[in-house]
Amino acid sequence: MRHQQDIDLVRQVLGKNKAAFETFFETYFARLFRFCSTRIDDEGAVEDIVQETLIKALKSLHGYRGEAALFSWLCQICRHEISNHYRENGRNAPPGVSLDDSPEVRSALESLASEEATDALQQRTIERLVQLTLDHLPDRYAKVLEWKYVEGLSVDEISEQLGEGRIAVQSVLARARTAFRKAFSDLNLELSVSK
Amino acid sequence: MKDESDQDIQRLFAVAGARRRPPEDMASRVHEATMEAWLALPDQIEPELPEREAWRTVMPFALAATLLLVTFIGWGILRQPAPVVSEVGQIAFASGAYTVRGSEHLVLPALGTGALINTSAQGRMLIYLTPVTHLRLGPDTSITLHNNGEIWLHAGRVYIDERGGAQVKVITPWGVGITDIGTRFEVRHENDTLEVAVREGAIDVALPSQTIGARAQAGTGVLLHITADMSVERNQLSTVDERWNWIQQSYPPFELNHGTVHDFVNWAAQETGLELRFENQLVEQQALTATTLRGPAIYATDLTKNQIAAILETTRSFRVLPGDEHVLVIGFAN
Repeated sequence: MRHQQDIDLVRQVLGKNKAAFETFFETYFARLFRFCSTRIDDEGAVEDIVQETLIKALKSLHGYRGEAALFSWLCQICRHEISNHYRENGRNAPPGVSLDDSPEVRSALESLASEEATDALQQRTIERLVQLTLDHLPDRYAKVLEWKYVEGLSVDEISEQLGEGRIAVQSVLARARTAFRKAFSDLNLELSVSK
Repeated sequence: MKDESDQDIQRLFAVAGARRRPPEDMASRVHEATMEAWLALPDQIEPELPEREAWRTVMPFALAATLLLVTFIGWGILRQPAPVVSEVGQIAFASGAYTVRGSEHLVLPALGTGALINTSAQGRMLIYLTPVTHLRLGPDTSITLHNNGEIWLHAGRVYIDERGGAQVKVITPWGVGITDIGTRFEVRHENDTLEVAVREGAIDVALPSQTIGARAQAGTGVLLHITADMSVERNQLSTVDERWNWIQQSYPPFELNHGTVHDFVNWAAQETGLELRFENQLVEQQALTATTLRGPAIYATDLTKNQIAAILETTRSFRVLPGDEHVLVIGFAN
């Protein structure tokens, strides 16, 4: 499947269309920030990595062929930057050990476990899954869902934000909810957080 | 009007809250740096579309360019343009001794057009041609980086890992050209023998008289043995065969700390040649979000499925499920 909308955006960015560049930045900066923040605690490092990801992506953009969604393509670059970050910082860390020393490695890995206790973990998992789902929805859908369900805006207020009529907004909301449910149900989760 | 049908989403968002926003000062700094890089891009570059579509787009320009070429050919002959040298890759990892020539205008680890790279008998190297196109060099290897899509292999062995949809071509001393079609493959020219091995995806091998294809599937790769008279012998090769072990020595260790289970199994599959599968989407999403790893850096050298399973067991959340030898299936722990 080709991602024609993404290809069109890339073509416009490469064609030096400033509005397209702003769309590219607005659409992907915050998403990459969240992608990176879930992997790295240090906010300064997150800034460096996201910036480097965007710059490298721009330089390689002519190689984007639309075979994956642009966001997935950017995540791939971001993963490499995160690996580089740990590699560079690893220089000051204790030297690595080979898997040949399996018992030692196993013992060192015993600390590896779920991050938090069950309730907190459940909440954090839901947070991340909702964010992940929203980040993979079209930006317009993610925005209207957040306006309505997080910020509590009414249909009229959303209508004002979008510059569209009430009926159009209700229609966008309905489509956004459907898209969200489908993406979420793809995760095999029940759309209920009640205990 | 109250929308009764959206209570499920309301409850979910009540738990999750808003998506985290980057701080405004950070957004402003990153925007400025990114825009600077965007403004510095050369004008009028086009995405590299697949061949047929690219030609449809390019044809009118090609005709115009031909006319211009004919008009200015005399001028072109009289004037020798200054060489344009640009960065075509970065050394991401190296062990053992190596030399780089023809790239003096750039500061290492950056490599320029025409860089001649030689590794020693103990040498290994990983080069990022693009963030998603990686080139590994084995010992006693000599290559010229013609550009980031074309490598001239003079001697030794190279391994290409291409995941971005771009094509990489390897030209060998006998003029045989190997072009990938979104894949991972190895080319060896050692002891006057040329061997091409495909681990994933497909390649085309252009011989003087014909072009032959080779495709890996379901854990079975292809090994082509080509002699100086251009006769070709074709054999099957497991994607987890020992032949691939050298490539693991050309990659830095994996940092477990703060890596997700998803990162770890992706890396392990990449290095071992195993085909990664998750039992279902929920497992994949949990691997991506629910657990981060803690522990030392680990090397892929001789990494086996059993060792991957042992590391996953320590998460108490995930395990390797039974499956075919060439497949790494990840599921939830019992």
